[in-house]
Amino acid sequence: MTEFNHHNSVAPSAATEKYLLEVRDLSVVFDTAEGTLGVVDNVSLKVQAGRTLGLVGESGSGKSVTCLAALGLLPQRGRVTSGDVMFEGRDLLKLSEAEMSDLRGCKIAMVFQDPMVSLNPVRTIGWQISESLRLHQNLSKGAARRRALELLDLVGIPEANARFGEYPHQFSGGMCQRAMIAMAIACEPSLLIADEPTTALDVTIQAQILELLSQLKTELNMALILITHDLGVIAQVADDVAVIYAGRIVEEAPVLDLFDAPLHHYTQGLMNSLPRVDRKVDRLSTIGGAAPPPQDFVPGCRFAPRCSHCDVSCAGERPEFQNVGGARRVACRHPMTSGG
Amino acid sequence: MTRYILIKILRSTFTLWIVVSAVFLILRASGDPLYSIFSLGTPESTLDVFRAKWGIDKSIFEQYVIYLSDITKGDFGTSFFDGQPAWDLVVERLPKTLLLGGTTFVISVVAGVTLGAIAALKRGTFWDRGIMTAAVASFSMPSYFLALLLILLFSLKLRWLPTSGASTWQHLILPATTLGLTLSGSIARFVRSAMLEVLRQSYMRTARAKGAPKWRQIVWHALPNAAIPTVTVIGFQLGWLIGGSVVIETVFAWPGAGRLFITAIGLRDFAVVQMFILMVASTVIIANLLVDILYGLLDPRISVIGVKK
Repeated sequence: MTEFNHHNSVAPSAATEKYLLEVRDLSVVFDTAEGTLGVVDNVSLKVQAGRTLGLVGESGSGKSVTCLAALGLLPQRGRVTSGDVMFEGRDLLKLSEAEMSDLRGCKIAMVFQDPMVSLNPVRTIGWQISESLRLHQNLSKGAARRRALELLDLVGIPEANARFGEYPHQFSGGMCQRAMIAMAIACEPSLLIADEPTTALDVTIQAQILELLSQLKTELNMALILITHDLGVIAQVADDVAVIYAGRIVEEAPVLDLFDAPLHHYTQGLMNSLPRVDRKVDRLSTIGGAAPPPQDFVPGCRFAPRCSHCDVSCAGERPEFQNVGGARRVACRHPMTSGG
Repeated sequence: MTRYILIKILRSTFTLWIVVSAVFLILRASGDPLYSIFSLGTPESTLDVFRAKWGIDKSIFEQYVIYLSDITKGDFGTSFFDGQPAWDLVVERLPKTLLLGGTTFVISVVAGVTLGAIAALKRGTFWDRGIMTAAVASFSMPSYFLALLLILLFSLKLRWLPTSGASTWQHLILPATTLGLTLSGSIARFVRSAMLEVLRQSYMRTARAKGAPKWRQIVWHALPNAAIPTVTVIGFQLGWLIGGSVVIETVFAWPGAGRLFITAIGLRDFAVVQMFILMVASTVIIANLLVDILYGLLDPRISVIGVKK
């Protein structure tokens, strides 16, 4: 079913083809009563087939909005003002709603933060999983049921047969998230976007769900975008990391490099605030101040007001991305000194 | 299950008893029926004969006890006016009332749900404002006034539809439209707010993320959820529908139980009025019971009958 359209207005360059999904200079604004707010500002992301990209940021940093925009799932008051989203050679932002519907849940699937409210309360779990299959694979009712049972089994829901006919309120949070995942992977997508998939769950369940996602990723050879505010989760499953702050990507790196030596002061701050088992500290370190809401974004580097290394130059122009060797990029005038 | 139904029946019986007693008292307080039925100047001695015959010469308390014990035996009294059993009089006219009420109900639910859903989906647009303005206008206007406007337009001006009677299906159109406009207006408003609530839920985003086409998101994901609060409202409106039909049947000379009721009130025909009220109260109670059951069917989180599904 994959169709590469080489005659598109935006001809895929060699670089594009290397990536399954490439978000280029995506900007998103929200129309509110107070005016238009730019929540995502020229964000670029690349995801290679079969790899996991961790998208880290605080709440309100625009990480979810970026992904929702890419999938055309923005709420009504949000709109994309620039950029393109290349997926398998097509710009998703130029597709019609019908074309996007064919793609969503089939080639690209999404799992949301709060599984208990993301499932329809008046439909059975089995119905909701079968629906994905029937929408995209034209399966008969019986065939969809058989496949849905396999999927329930695959995501580790015991007694699939009995639970098929149950409603979301009869499932625990962890089980709901497993059902959501079963629904998302039903059509074996090449990209799965998981938006804070473990935030609403207990810590022990979190580990199981992450384990499940990693395992499914390998089994189905899909790429994964994992949106989270939790660097611990990133360390556990991501291959590459993009750090987002106030609607802009501030740093990009392979996961090991990032944890070895963060380059952006924001990344460094996030890491310092992680509890560690190998160091005894009385009090966890924090980043002073709070992440600004879009109406308080400052010109220049948006992190500058909270950064201990900022100087006059940071307040002027937006800091450009610097390639720092390998696959590393950082948007800071005074990056932390370390391995390039 | 049995326990649930038993409790329901007990409570309904209690409600009915209150209604029946209140109506009984109010009717007796409203005056002597003899003066409405007989012409002025009829000698008191004659009236006394009839008072004794109809049992209204006894004390109110005695009458009340007799009335209640008769009801339990299935005897709902006799019309003072034409001597027929009240039950027969009401039941005989019931099919016409049900025809009008049923038609109105179906039209209102279909129109109300469709328009309410459209208004919610097109929130803030011309469609939304248009539908909501019409809805507010239709249920704010007294139904008899709306009825007169419709008669003026469709019967007198355009001469398309008959003004009164019930002999053909054309006769049904005006009364059903009058009642239906009012009812669908309020249903549309409730459906709109229920839909708006549902549309912003996370599971609607999940439905989109799955690749469900727009119509499917609405029909299979949104409407079943919006139906839950809507059903309650529609259930309450059933009682209103019967009350409203009393007026409309009179305006359009529709030979139903409602018109009989108005006539009976004018004549202080106790038995008929009591019979009609009893019937209306029972209908409302049954409608509420149905709503309860329907609730459980629509919302798997609620188990009405105490059995976990």
